[in-house]
Amino acid sequence: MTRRRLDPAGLVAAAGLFALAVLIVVDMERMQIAPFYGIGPKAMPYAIAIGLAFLGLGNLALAFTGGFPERDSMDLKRVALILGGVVGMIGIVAFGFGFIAASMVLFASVARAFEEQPVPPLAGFGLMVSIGLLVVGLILSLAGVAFAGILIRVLVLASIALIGWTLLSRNGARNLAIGLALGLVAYLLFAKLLALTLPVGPLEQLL
Amino acid sequence: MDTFASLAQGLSVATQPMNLLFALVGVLLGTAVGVLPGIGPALTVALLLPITFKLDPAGSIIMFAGIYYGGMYGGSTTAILLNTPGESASLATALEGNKMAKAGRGGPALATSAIGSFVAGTIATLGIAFLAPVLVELAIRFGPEDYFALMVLAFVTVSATFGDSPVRGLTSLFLGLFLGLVGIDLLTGQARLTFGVPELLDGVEITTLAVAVFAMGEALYVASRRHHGEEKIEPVRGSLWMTKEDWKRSWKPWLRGAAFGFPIGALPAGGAEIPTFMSYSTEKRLTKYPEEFGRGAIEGVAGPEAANNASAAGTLVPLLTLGLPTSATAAMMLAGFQQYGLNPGPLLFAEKPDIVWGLIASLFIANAMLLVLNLPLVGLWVRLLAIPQPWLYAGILVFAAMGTIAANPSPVELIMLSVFGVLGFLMRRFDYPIAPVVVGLILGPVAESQLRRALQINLGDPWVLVTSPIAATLLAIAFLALVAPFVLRGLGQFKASED
Repeated sequence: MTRRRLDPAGLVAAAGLFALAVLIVVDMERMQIAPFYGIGPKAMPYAIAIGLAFLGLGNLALAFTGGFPERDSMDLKRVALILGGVVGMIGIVAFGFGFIAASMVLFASVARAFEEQPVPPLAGFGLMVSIGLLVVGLILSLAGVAFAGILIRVLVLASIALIGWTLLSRNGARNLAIGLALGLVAYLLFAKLLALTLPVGPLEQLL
Repeated sequence: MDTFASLAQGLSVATQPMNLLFALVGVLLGTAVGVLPGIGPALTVALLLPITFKLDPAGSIIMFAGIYYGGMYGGSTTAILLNTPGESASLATALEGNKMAKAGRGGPALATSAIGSFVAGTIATLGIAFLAPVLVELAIRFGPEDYFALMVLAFVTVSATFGDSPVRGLTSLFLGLFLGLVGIDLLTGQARLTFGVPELLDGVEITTLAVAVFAMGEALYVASRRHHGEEKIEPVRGSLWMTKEDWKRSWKPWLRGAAFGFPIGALPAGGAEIPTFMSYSTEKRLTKYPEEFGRGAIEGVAGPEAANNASAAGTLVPLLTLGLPTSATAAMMLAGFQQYGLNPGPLLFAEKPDIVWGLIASLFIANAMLLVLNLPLVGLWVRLLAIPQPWLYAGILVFAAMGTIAANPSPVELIMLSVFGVLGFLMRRFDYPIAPVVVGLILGPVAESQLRRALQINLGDPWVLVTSPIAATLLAIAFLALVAPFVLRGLGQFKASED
């Protein structure tokens, strides 16, 4: 209980909260507004920024006083596999391959992440690297750097390939088939029957 | 208005065939998601929001309430048979319930929790029917400044009472408030925190955040701990029926549980875990069989389970009369009202009495349906637990992604889903409560517009927050509720002593 070691998690949390507070202030300083009665659109953001900064201090205090609970070991390879599946889904939807194909990849990679068989270290490592690069690519493209779009495409394809390779293990084919069936049923039920807008690809156009 | 006349009117709405069907679908779905680990009623309502957008408002809201009630019933099944309480409100049930199941008395444990839930749910629903009109009378006098103060109070209680650490609770709340700022300011048309991304102009979708932190955060968290092994399901052994002795030992805890659950649920204090633990410790003190506690005492299941359901019903009182959600599921139900342009509060009682009273009347029906569905069919529900964990979580995430795209068909929405999913995972890992971030996102913009309206009416005079007696009282309570945990550290110790 009385662990007094500095907890890096608290430092990261505090840094994140300070960053959000600064983000609000920067965005509000940019805003130009006409005069008004009462309080305008800037007041609440500033109040929240102050709150976030205070909570940053609070989290800093927690980090120094051992205010965070003890944590078990965790298997980041499985986390990476799920995130890889989501990234794969985003890529498939963004490239117009449709909802059903996306469901198939997502289902199979999440199912694989929950299977007893350990995730091969190489697959987990590769996924983590490609997710990390993808985040960098997204930040670059938001910042308006050229080539970011191409970079994202390459990385999405790379992570899909990696996921595919991981999925070829024991139950991969079966999980892909279940994912396909689930995506198909969900599409028919919700897009056709309830008229929801779901991403359409070549497969959906056949239906 | 006369409560009985209103209830009769509501009953005529609730017994329309379509609405009965909605209630049935709701309780079935609710029980299923309550039984299944990894999904709860809040997530289910979140997933259904985009799907029900085009359906009849009364029917959908009746269905949401059915899911809420059903989730409470289903959660106890998992707590008893699997020892994995689906939500913190079932923690106390798991303490004695799982011991009973291990001792071959799983049947009576399930029965006392189902019947107790029915008794407490019915009492609490009567409580709603009689308390709501009184509160509505009071709420009519509320000005915008009073609503703002009320929301501040809800912010404090929701974030300081959920979880053990006020700092972490408030951190979660402010993350939600931050996300609530994103988008176009409704009063001036200014874009805030959108950074030139057009998808952000509409703000952060409630569905996306809720689905991400509840479904994806949970999946990532469970997957990261997959190597720690799985829980074992206790088969239901022995008779399902309670003996005469069981009945004798159960009925008082049911009533006491309801007496704890409903008022605490109805206060803007949030969290069903407080009344359940209060009920547990009371039963432990009053029992004639103290030696059985810790080894499977039926009182320890009957009381907390009744308190749990009564408090779930209680949270509907502030939700319906003031538009104030005090639990994650209530927050999602508020989002459900909002998507039809309905704002819970005194006006809703006056303008759409058929919806409000139809909902309250349907709660009685849902409760009766749940009793029938749960007692004889419990074996069927338990079979849901046999779904292999990989398929369960994979299926949940496919539906989560579908709900997100359906709310806003754009890859940007999926990127937000993954970012918030990682946030939900980290919050679980480092023990930040999840509910306040959702409440903050939903209630933050409402609180801001109430505050600005209050100041505009009073020509920008901020003293209106103190000169209105209602607002001043509420703010004073909020301040006390904020400071008390730091001063007393009382609640944390209370909970620790029960472990």
